[in-house]
Amino acid sequence: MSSVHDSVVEVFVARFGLDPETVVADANFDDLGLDSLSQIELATALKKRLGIVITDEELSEISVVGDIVALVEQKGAAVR
Amino acid sequence: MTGFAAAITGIGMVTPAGIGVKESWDRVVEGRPTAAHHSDLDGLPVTMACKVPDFGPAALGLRGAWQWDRYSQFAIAAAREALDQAGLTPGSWVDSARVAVIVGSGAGGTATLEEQHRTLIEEGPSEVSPMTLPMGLLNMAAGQVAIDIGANGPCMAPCTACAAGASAIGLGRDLIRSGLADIVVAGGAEAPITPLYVSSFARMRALSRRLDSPGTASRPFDASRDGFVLGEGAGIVVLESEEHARARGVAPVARVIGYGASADAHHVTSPHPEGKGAELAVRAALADAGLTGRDIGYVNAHGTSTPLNDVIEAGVIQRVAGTDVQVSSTKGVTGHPLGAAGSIEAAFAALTVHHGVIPPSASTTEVDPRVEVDVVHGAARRGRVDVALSNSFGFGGQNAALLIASA
Repeated sequence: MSSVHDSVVEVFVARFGLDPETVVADANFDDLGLDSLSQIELATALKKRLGIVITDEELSEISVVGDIVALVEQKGAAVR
Repeated sequence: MTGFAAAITGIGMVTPAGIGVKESWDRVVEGRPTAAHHSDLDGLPVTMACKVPDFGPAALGLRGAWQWDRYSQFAIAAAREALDQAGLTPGSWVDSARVAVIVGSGAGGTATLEEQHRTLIEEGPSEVSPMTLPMGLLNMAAGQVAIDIGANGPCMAPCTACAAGASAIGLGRDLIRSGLADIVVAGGAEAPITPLYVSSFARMRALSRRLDSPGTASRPFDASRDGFVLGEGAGIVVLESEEHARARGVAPVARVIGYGASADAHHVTSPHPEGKGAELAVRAALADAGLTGRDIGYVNAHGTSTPLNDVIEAGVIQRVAGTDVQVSSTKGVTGHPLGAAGSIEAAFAALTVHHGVIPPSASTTEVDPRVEVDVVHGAARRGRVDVALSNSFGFGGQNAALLIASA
């Protein structure tokens, strides 16, 4: 797994108190008990912890953890 | 006795005296105070409070706790314990629409609101959490308990300040009596040990300044009392009709046999000097139960340890029940958990009639000479109590009195 993946998992665990074992690439938000408000909360947490800004449009297209990791990787690359 | 009785078949508690009924009750009976200084209050005018020890979301054993303010976490933990004792399994209802939830609060999710207001000022509107209102609203403990246990019946949150928990139990009793619900999960929850609440109460000079001795700061009815110590927690009871409990084969812990409510219509914070509203509430509860003041064996008093409340309340108790009635305030141990006080104390009153044990007013050594009732202090007193009164008086002059009888 990439270090970006690990960082994203850490954000999920820290913000939502989830068991890290459950935060796998193909876990969807419903599986993790996260609703649309939680997704906005996640975007805030990613911004604070990783400095990555995810827009509302991008959020609406995300459904599994792997999508978030991919987006963060892409944005992280763009920043670099 | 002529009135209607609602059976209390389950009790749940999260208090500064402990997580769970047993820990809380044992410590209250021991009369061991919980007030202490807390470093997160450093810089505030008063740094002592009665906090629930070692309470964390993990204690709930469930994911999702991050989206509940601390006051809702207390309510959910207490509701689960109460249902467990009542032999009820959340989600396995005969008819979930007949299960009601009434959980009151004074401050609601103030910790969340204060934190997000800070975020708004310091970081701007785009950083405010979308969970601010779902966590912060005053009705959310009730809403979250209903979600947690799958109750589809009436769901409400009385906001009668420090009477909220008692109002909830009284209104819950009314739902049972009127036939609108078969089971009511009722009580109060509060988590007000925050910078804004501590500062506000301190500015009102409502809090004890006995900072050199937190352990004896909350001393209800003592001649040298000087204010209350802020507490937190939740108390939840399961109410049902006696027939309903019997049909389920469950033995009640105690019974709610009377409820009275009133307003001082006098002042927002000061009690009426003759305790007019308080006395109306107590007399209404007695009339409701078909009893007289002489039937009251014990009063779990509002007894905040403030100079005004305790002497005025004692006067009311004396006028209604005489000078021999046994009185104590468990706030000597728990401090004042505001909107949760009424339900925590009604639950203690239920345990008093159930066990035949009156907890002492902790830290009270010299009873105010103007208090002419039998203040139980020094040690718990054992003996049969058939009927106990639990008083709760809220800011706004909102009063609630509950009469609890042995089962």
